[in-house]
Amino acid sequence: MQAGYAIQITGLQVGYGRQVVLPCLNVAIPRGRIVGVLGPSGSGKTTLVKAIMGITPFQAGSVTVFGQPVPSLSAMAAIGYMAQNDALYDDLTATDHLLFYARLSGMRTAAARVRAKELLNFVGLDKETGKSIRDFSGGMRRRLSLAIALVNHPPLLMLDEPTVGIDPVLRRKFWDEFTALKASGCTLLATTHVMDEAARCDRLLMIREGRLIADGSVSELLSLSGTATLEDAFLHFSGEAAKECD
Amino acid sequence: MRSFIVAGRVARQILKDRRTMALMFVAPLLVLFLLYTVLNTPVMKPRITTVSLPAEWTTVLSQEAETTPASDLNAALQTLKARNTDAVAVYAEPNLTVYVEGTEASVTMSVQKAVASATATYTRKQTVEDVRAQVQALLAHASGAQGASAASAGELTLPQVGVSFTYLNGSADTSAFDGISPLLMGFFIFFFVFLLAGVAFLRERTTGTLERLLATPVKRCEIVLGYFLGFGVFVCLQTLMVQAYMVGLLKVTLKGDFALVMLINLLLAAGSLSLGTLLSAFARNELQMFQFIPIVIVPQVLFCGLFNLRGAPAWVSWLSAAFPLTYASNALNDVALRGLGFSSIWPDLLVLLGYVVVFLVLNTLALKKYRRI
Repeated sequence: MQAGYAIQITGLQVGYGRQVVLPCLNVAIPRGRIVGVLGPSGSGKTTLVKAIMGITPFQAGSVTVFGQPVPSLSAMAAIGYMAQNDALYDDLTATDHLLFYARLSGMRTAAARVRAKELLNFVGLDKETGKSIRDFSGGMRRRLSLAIALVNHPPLLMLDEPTVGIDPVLRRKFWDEFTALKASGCTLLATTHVMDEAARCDRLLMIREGRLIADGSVSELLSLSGTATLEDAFLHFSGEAAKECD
Repeated sequence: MRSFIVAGRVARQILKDRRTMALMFVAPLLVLFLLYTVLNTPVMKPRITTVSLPAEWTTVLSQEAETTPASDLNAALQTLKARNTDAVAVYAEPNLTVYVEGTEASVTMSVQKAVASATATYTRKQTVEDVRAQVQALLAHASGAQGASAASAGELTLPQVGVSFTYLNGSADTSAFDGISPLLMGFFIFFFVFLLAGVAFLRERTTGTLERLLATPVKRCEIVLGYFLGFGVFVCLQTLMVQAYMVGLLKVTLKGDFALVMLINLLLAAGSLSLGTLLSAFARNELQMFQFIPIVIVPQVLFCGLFNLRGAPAWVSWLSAAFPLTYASNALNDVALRGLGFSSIWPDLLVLLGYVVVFLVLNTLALKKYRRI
């Protein structure tokens, strides 16, 4: 049943000018899972995320989020988005950002203030409320980006390289938070090219040159490829022929 | 030398930016062509309506100006007020009174030149004819012709003509700067708002904050309107400051209502704000935003009324009619220099408002590049 999936992608084709980034992608992601999109740089991970968000027009195919067609404002309302580049306003504070996005999602000012405080505590930025973003470290920026993505209690979280550029301690904390979010019923889709992070996902989509080369749980992929590590598994599947588009 | 390595990298980067390459060569040629067109426009003949001017004088004046005889002074002055003529020349012996509109220094100067030249030629001709008549009378008297008498030769009197100028607006002291100062005020507001809005919105695009915003369930038109209002507050303050400075401290001519001039400037600034944000969609960086100056700003300045283009080719008038600055310039001159009110300038204001709406709609459409809904 389509509405049973958090994301349903059928025959998705995305390109920029003459360059085709995703030639034909079919995938369905059930609710309440952490799904990792694994692939090297330039494989089409960010393009896939943006296509699901509805902020990259696609040439063919269809995408639905909780049964809502993409692009649509109702689908967007269900998604929390953590962009690869933090896309923050340097002159504003963390609180300014959270209030802004909370108000955009339809919260009243008082409720937005409460939510901003909750999230600043959650990501450990509650002591940095008076600081401009220009004075934030890379890790602080990522934490704020995560808080922004969570501001509207989204049932689907799209995380584009969420741990890139942050230290191992914070990375572990992020993944603990992702697991906690999953436990609360949230569906997470995270792109990564870090293999040990990918191992923490319930399901992995391996992408190479815009094509889905493997799809399954970590144990399934290791078993199918007959390899001991995800890195070897990825190289194994890369060697196989790309799936044909209908 | 490492400088050559750096130079090579710079050259490669510029060569790959086709638009910079194109503008580097096309923009100077375009601006030079426009300047050539403006400065090569033939010196216009002023249009002078004559009332009770002797026929011979009118004939002489016709060589310097386009003359139209009229019988009623009041009707002629109405034509002048409507700017369908540049001057009204009324002769009441021995004085010639020339009424000019007075707000355009170049027009006033061309009228003054034409009247002075025609008056000199006419009085010289009159003097020659008088002398000739006197000499003939004297010769007739000397030869004892029948009926001729010494008395008819009489005393030689040179014609005395007093020429005075009356200004409907402005005065003899109106300088070229006074005439263009309202336009300059409008231009500076237009220019600074265009650049600041364009660069600020471009930064939203390049830093990814615009895309991040488009990932929220906010309509494209709400985003465009939000940016417009957000920048608009500061644009209003900037406009108020520039206008107050020019009128209060630089003593720029302001015959009309300060608030009405403010309304024109605000509409112009709103048009510039929406145009700047629109064009930022077609720039990848600040350099490309600045490249719009010779394409978008310079032609508007040249063709908005700064120069008298009555004799220019037809395409110049078409281009001029397509520019927001032209309508703002008309309205500003009407209010600041001529003291006219809202009833005279509302069509210009309506056009300026139309530009704001059109640019905002185009802005919303330009965001389709990122999001289709």
